[in-house]
Order: sequence, then structure tokens, then C-alpha cells
Amino acid sequence: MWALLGLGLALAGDLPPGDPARGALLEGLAGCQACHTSEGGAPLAGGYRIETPHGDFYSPNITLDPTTGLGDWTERDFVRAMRRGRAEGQHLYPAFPYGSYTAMTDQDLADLWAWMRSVPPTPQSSRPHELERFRWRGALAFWKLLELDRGPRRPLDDAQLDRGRYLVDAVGHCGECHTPRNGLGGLRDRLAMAGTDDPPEPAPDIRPATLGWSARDWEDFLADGMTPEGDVVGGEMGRVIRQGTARLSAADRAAIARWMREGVE
Amino acid sequence: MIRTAALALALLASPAFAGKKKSEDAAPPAPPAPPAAPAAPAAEAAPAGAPTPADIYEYRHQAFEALGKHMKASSLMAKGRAPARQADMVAHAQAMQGLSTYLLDMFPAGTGPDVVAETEALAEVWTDWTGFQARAQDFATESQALVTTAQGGDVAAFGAQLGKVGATCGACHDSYRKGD
Repeated sequence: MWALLGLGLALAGDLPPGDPARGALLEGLAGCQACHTSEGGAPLAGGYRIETPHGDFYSPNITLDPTTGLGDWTERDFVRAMRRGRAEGQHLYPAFPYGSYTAMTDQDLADLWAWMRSVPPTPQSSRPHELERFRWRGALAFWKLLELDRGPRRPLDDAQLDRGRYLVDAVGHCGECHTPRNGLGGLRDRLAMAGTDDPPEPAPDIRPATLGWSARDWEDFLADGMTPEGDVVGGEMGRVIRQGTARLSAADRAAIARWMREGVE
Repeated sequence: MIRTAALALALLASPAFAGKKKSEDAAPPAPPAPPAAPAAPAAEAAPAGAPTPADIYEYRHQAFEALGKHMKASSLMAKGRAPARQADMVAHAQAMQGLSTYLLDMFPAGTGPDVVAETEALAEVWTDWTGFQARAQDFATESQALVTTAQGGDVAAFGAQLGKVGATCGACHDSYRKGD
């Protein structure tokens, strides 16, 4: 119901006005640059390799370059990609985590789009994906039917918990790496945050019973990447911290901490 | 080759491993060193008391755990959750800087994941020894700067420099530690 409402609103193409500065903060947590920028490459110009159990994906150029990038995409095209995993008449592979982004609010999508339009266009072609399975995109329609729960979620009564869940599940898409998947590549909700050994790198079990972290442990970690043991994480999580959570407000980090302790089972 | 020499030098210079013999199957010309012993698996046949690869891993693991504790303790001071006495800041900084002086010695060839299953060190530590050395040097540089900052006694500056030290940890973990 909420999903339909959210979808109806956004697909009408009337997002509220977006703020590129706010969008720049969001994109760090959403990981736009993290996945759409190759090492040493121009921002959002694509070509970054994403290893998955199904093969290697190469992220596309999502600058507004007319030939190799998004070109004349409208806000409506952007929303369609983010909420429905469709672009330029094709189903998108969920290596682009629209299963999470679908729950982003209209305002946040508007801000993100405003930021994306502020990034200079760069002509640069990406590489074709190298997939072992699911080469036929048509199958993705079936995947979506089973696995994609479109649109914003019904809000929780507790505003801080709601914010935490939103940052973790929708924008931060934490479960895309930390939640085990079923045979079709869908997230196994009952095992949310239970960790996986899948590529690109193993993601640990971060459920509260396993981790036993206090709220402050979480807030410190999200701010500076240091665990309660004094370990400093690198790799993908290091990037999530540096580009994402470290740049959030302390209130947002506290919301994430609370959701990770109370919302995740 | 360079790395073999560097390793051998590091080993010779290191009191902790002065007794440990090593050989490197990949690179024949051995620098002046104790008579070549068989590679890692035979370490159990080493003279009584010489550390086995598992021993070296265990020591390395404990040393890095200690490093982490000094990081965390320092961060508590930087965040104002512990009294930031100058002498204490210096003590933590010196402990970390001290580890940087023998960090490379703790990674002799033959103590990688192919030999010691428990280690989180990736084979890249040894296959890209030059890169690993560079990361270790970054840590040495920043932790030395941390000692200087701590001696100055300014908590805010100490916290800022601690962040730079932490960044060198993360940067090395990026490429050379499993799961990062």
C-alpha cells in the first residue's frame, strides 16, 4: 500500500526540489562513487569491477555524458532505475542494489539526482559484464517478481529506529553484503546481517548477539572505523566508513547504532 | 630477490628471530646467513627452542592485538573519555612506534596462509613485499609523528594524528589482510 503510494508519487515525475549538497552527503552512504568510479578514474565514470558469485560486473558510466553516460536522462528515468531497476528499456541487474534503494524517500532521491547532475560529464566507456549465469536480462523480470519489494517502507512508530532502519536498509544497503542470499540472489531476510563469505570479500556476522557491541561501540566504529578491540578496518568497509558513515551527523550514527542493536535480530 | 635480501637482513637484525633459520625456495642466491634449512614445513625439526611458523604467527597476532589496544586506549583519550596526561599519551604512542620498528620482522617468508591456516595475512604480503614494506613505512612515519605530537601534550593534535595512524592501518589491511 505504502509501496504503491510512494511509487505512484515518484513515477508521476514530481519529486520535490533537490539539494546537491545534501545529495553529496547521501551519496557517500549510498556508495554511488564507490561503485561507479574506477581506481584513479573520474567520478561516476564507471568501469569499476564488482565481483559476485555470478560473475564480474563492470559499473556503467553514470555521468551525464551524452554518448557513454546517462546523457539525456530525466529525473523520472533516475527514479525508475532506483525504485524499479529499469533503465533504457532494460531490466537492471541487482548488482546495482535497487532492492535497497527502492525504499529511499522522494526527497532523498531528488537530492541525489541534484548531486549527480552537478558531477561533470566524462566520456568513458565501461566494459561488458562477464557473467557465468543470468546472461539473459529477461529473467530479471521474474527475479523482481519474487525478490523486489518496491517503494518506501511503512514507517516505524519510533522515529529514531525508523531513521536507523532507513539508513541501514535503504540508503546504506548494508544487507547487500552482510546478509546471505538464496539461490536466486535474493536477500534472506531471516538471516539479516548474518554475514557471508561471498565475493568481493567476506562480510562478517554483525548481528547483536554475535557482536555484543554497545551503542557507543557502534557510534565510534561508524565515525572512525575502529572496533572496540582497536582494530581499524580497511577494504570495502573502510570505504563505507570513510566515504559514508563518518560524514553523517552524530544523530544519524546513533540511529544506525540503535537499529543494529535493536532492530536486527 | 630484493625482498629475500631485505627479509634476511630484517631477520638478522631482529633479536626476536636471530635464532630462526630460513630459506626461500623462490630465490636461490642466499645472502650471508645461517646454513640453509629446509623450508617452513620442516620448522618442527628446527633446533629445540627455535620458533615454528605457528609460533611466529602467534607472536605476531598478539603484537597486533596489543597495537590495537594502544590505538583504542589512545582514542579514548582523544575523545575525552580518559584523562589525557601527556606522559600517558607518550607511552601509548611510543608503544605503537616501537612496534613499527620490528613489524616487518614478524613476517618472515614461510609464515603465510599456505603454512599457518589461522593467519589473516594474505599471500600478497610476500608476493608484493615492496608494497607491504611501503605500507609499513607509512605506519612507521605516522606513529613517529604521533610520539612527537604526544610529547607536545595537545590532546586535539594527538587525536588528529591518531587518525592518520589509523588510516595507515586501514590502508595496509586493504591489500594485505584477509576479509578487508
